[in-house]
Amino acid sequence: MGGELLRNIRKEFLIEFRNPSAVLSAFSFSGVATISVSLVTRALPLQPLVQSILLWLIIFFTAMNSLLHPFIREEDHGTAPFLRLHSSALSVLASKLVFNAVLFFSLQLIITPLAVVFFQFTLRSPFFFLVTLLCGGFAVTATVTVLSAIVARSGGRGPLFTIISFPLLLPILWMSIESTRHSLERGGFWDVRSLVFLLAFSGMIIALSFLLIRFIWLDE
Amino acid sequence: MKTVRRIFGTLLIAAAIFGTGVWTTFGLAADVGGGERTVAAAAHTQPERTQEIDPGDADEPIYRVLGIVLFVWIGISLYLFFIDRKITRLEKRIK
Amino acid sequence: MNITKSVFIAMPASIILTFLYAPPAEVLGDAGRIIFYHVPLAWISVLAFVVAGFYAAVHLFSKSPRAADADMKSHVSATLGMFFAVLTTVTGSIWAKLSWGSYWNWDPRETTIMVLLLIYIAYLSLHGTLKDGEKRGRICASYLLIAAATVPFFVFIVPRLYPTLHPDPILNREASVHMDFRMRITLICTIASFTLLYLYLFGLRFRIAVLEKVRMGIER
Repeated sequence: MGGELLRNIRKEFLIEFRNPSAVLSAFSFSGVATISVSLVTRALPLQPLVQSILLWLIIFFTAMNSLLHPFIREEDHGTAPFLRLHSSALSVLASKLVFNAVLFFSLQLIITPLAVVFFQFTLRSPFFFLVTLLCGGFAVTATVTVLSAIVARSGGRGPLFTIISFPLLLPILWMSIESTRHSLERGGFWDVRSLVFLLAFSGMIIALSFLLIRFIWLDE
Repeated sequence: MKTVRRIFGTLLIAAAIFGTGVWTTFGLAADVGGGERTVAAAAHTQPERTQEIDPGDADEPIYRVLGIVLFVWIGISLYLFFIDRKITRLEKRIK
Repeated sequence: MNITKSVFIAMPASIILTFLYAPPAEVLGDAGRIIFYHVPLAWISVLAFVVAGFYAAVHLFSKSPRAADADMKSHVSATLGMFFAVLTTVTGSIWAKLSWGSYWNWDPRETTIMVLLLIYIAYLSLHGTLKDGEKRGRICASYLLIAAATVPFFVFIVPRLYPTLHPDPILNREASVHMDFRMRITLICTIASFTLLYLYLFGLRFRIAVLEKVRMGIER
């Protein structure tokens, strides 16, 4: 199981970097989105709430555009049946989850500094800000990965993906926005409840997706 | 024949809903208008209702609302009842 | 024969109770009687969701032949829940206009019902995208379970984290009921008869779904 998982993760990275157009377009999307939103807001002195809403909206749309790819690719290239024969559903999900998490954290590495610079964030508690980004990003990744498996299997594409993922991502966005606002407005590390909420949410989603992936991914 | 009956039924339901809407709107509007006309005369005679409803007074708006709600419910229940009967008939035919 | 048919008697009885037996509310007067319709509708829209989730779980995890129709039951319950959630939103919005002065003000509980509505829409559009068959049942059931797992986060945690104008839920933390005795009796009666209505509609819709399946089988 462990060897199979490592092989699958390695396969994900190899395939994506053999033909890196999807990853590169995801990176350029995140950069362009951040810069163009800051251009549209025209260097207005935005309130912390507005700043954090803009930041998380950019993160949301980046997730919508980039994290759907690993599962869709298997269906598009016709490799899904072989993957089903070759490795277990759990290791497929785990490898896609790891790949998506790495991709999404690197996308956040692009978005966050750009947003901090262009939106003129004043970080009262930078550590709390970073922890919020990590927890929120992880929750978004966990949710979007399992939903992208559903969308890939159902043959629908972008619009369906946005419809079915928005209600589940809403609590994550909501809590992350509140928590980011707190980190911009006040110092200290006091709003731990939001972080616990985000971690509990992602833990629940990951547990459920490992429980349900065999119904989504496999043909009976 | 079936289509005609279906169209007729839909029209009937639509007319019932529209009618209750018109009735509510104009009935309540007439109530307000009438109230304005008689408010000077009735200011002393009509006691302000605080807790209980006078059971004998059929002009209370609450009875009107109750009537409308019951009317709507009767419409819905008739609709459900006929659907139920139709389903039972179909089930018998399949068996 | 069928106990849910008592709804034809229970419903008019509780309509009469709400208008003649229950006293007018303290602040709103007679307009406050909308509580006897809003609360049962909200209860049904949550109950329908729970039932749909339950049947989704049965469909996925149960092997017994009695669970063969669980997929259809889950879809029927979700359709009904969507209907009741729309009615809850409408009545709640009327009540909000009467007591707070605006139809919609993004109170946490309003947000919660809106999210429930979004989940229903997402589930039904996913159901519509997929073609009929075993795959549709399993994928939709998986999505419904994931969505159902997020509902407790909305219903309980989010309103508690942020201030609300909404009256306490009937079962609040002190387990006390701030309500006149007659109002309480009426509310219990309306909740019971709305539950009967839901069960009756559920039976009807399920029988229609069975008939449609038979017809599809004949036509094929």
